[in-house]
Amino acid sequence: MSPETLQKKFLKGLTEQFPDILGKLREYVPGQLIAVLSRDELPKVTKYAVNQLGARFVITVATDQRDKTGDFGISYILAFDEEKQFLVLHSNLPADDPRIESVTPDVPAANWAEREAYDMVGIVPEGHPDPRRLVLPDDFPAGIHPLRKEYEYNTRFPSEPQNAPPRMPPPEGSTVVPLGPFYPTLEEPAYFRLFLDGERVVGSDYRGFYNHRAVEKLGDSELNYNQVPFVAQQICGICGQVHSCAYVEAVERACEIETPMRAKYIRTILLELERIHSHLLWVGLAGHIIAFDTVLMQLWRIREPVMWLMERVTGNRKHYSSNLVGGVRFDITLEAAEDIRRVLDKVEEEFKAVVDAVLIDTSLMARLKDVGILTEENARALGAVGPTARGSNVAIDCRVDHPYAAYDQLDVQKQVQDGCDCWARTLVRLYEVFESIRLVRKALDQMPGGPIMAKIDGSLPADRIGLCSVEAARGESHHYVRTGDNNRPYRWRLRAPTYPNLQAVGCMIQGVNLADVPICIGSYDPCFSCTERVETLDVNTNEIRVYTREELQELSRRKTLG
Amino acid sequence: MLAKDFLAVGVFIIVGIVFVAVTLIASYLFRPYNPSGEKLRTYECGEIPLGPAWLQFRVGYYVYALIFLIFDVEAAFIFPWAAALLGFSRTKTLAVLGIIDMVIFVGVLALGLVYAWKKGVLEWK
Amino acid sequence: MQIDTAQLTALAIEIAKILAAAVCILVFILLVVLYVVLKLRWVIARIQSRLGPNRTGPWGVLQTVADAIKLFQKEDIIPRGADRWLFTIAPAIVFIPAYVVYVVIPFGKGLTVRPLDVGVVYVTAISSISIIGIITAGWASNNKWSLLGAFRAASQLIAFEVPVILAMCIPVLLSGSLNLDVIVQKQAGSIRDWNLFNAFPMCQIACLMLLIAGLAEANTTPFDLMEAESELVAGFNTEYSGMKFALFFLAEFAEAFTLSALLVTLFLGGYNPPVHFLGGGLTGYWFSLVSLVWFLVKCWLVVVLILWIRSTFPRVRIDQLMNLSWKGLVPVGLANLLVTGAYVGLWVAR
Repeated sequence: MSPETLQKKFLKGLTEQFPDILGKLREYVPGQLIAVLSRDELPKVTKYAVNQLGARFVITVATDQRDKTGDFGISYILAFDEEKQFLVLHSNLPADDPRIESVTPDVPAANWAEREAYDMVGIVPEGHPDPRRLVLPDDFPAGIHPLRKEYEYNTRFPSEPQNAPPRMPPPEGSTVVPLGPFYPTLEEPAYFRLFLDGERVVGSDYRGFYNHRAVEKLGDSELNYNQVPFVAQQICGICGQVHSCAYVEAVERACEIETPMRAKYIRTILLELERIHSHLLWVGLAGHIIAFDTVLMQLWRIREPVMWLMERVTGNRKHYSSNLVGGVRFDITLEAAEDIRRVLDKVEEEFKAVVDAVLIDTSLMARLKDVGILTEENARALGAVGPTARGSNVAIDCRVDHPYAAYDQLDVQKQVQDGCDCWARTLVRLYEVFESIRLVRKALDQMPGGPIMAKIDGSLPADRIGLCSVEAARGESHHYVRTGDNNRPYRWRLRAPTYPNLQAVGCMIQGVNLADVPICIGSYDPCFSCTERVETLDVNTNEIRVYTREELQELSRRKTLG
Repeated sequence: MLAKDFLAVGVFIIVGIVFVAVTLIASYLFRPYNPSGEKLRTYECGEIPLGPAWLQFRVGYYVYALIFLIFDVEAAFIFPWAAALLGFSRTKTLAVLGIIDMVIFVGVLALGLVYAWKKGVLEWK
Repeated sequence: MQIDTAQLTALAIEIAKILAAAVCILVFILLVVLYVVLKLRWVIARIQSRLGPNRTGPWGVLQTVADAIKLFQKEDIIPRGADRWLFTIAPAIVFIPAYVVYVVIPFGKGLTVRPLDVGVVYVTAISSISIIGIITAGWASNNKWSLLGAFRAASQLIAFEVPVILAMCIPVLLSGSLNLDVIVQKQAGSIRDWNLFNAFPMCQIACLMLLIAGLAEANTTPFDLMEAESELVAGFNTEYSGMKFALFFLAEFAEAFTLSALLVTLFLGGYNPPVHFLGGGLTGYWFSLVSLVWFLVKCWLVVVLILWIRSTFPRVRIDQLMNLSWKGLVPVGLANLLVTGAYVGLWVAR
């Protein structure tokens, strides 16, 4: 362990309470501590770290490691954001009795993570207040945990509709109104059951994961290191660069690969451009939700040149296919850099006009101020991330707290608001666009020359652990990689920013008017899923064509090769 | 004269009914009819509907309706007054009387509104 | 009682005349709605930096015609749980009042179907019948979204009925008549004689009130809460399709045109030309024709204004809407009524 880490405040607090933990801590990568604890210790340390030392619960990773050590592994990942530190608490559970005491009663942010660990691997969270099925489909067979190694990635399971999880009973005297799965303003399937008293929401229940595509299973079983980024970028239609970047950085950290600085800068520039177009998209959608379509159309018009820019640099509007372990595939040439500057000047000018109009628009404020309150306390307790957290005065931003790519050289300013409402979250995003524009310009100025790909010989070492958090437009995307044999990850775990934010929605919409529910849900910029097939309508022949996977691959290859 | 007035209204109502009937029947002749279980199911965002939709609603709606009723009935008195005041205004006493009458009348109405406001009835919940 | 053949013939001729007028107005409403919807899409497209309809027919003018034909052929779906009869009748209850209101609208000099002496009262009374149709539709659908939309519609429409009445009283006070034709004739002359430029500031306040409350009554954005797409799916007409949906649509835009016709009639001089030499000196049929043109031009301008408003504001929330009416427009309207009354009673005649 490095001397700087030993000086950190949280470690002192931890060793005061648990004196023998110091001997169990290992620091593989700077900023990432891993402790292997017993089954009884793990929940205690987690609760203490979160509730007394102010750690933020990130995610759990359940691993089926029976083929190696004959048992199951469970890791609770915590983050000490102010001290720029990740802490992984790991415990091995016997294969015939994979139980662990649930921390959810004390750490509400762990609610879904523990349910998912049960669904996917079968780690039983004992004493969980709401142990219903979360991730698996309603008709999935009981007792099968698909992320266990005995199931092939393409196994087809029989349908057993009787296994549908029970629905939460509504409070006395309220009416149940369904919002979703197919609801006009939610572009993706999500099912909120709202319990209404008149038009006031008195409770809610969520059922989602309709588009779960088992990417983790693919990553564990079928793909090698350099195939995963191309799957990872498909996770989200907007923040593809975020996921692939988080994954490759996690692998690079685990295997101590020296990525060239220029590659890191290119990743940073693409990430920031992605944030710009994502925030522009969000502001438009927010306008659409409150029936202000003029905002939608104008913002998307302003956004469009950014998409062209991405196509110019990487060959694709979305899914840039840029990241590989050890570097990036496309360089930013001098001319491309010039184009980026030119487009950003235009975007900044146009967006400035929009922001000036938005900031004085009283009718807009009337719809957003004091709506969807998420107090600072709740935001911390539920582990909210990104603009949702920063709008509630929780100053976390992975670009500063857990720097990746080239952010440690860019001096990022966190945008924090203390309004705790939809308006505050809007302001955070508006200001972040300008911050991102500044960062791209600075990165272009500072970008060094040199190679964009590291030389990697032979296969990567096995059984190392790497973590990486990337600040997506919606918040922290967290990736965990445990390296394995045969040049492929042994376990790849990812947590999208919507995962914790979605858990905060119930709290956000408690007591609001039905009319405010869509904007509350919209205000954390939800991103539930994306689909794998593409349907197109040919304007000239009016023929609907569904592309098959092979055709899409072919198209994509043609496009990439130019 | 009055009979002729409402003759026009009557003819319009009949033409309206005939128009609606004709369009509905004509489109019935042209449109397809392929019902299926899914199609006929009540739309509840893609889920199978739970229970009847004839849900209970808040008594709050009712109070608004009551306030409205008061104002709407008063409107029946305000309109004739408004139409007649210009005629009255040729005689000063009549005009002043007319205005005082309306001040009292509207005063009572406004008092009712203020009372409801203070009671918190006008807060939409 | 003896029935005179001469009287019967006169009655038959009268009915035939009204019938002809009724059919003319029906066709007029259909054409206006087709045009207003098209114009709406053009205006909004322009404001949003888009092209708008431009493919069907020259400049896309046939777009709404194509839409209407499409709706005409659409399958009509009545959900299983719905009340079939009420579900079918509801569109008629909404559309027919919106159409019957046109009896008293003065399209031009001598171009009113029947200038009723209770014109203003008639308009408010008839147009509020549509609420019943909307509630019927929401209830009959047996759908939660529809019913919530219908509740909202009821609260919204009754809330804005009062400001509409209070605003309409102001021109009535100034002209001393409830007859829309008389109100228009009192504004004859030039632009200075219009009610909008009369009795500062009471008339201007009343005009603005009528515009706001009328938009709320006509259910257009920013006040389209009863069918708020992003909140209530489609509100009271969620379950409607085909021709029944088209009737709701027709009624909504017919009401929007009624609103502009009322604004023109009550405040913008009705069919009178803005300056005397642009037709003020004409008589007989010529004046009827010219006044019709002026009426339509003014209505067109107000319609464009409404469409502009529609694309410039976000939708208000239901509680904000109710506050706007009960805590804003109603008190202002009452005060305005008294001040105008005092002005008319003590000032105008002298």
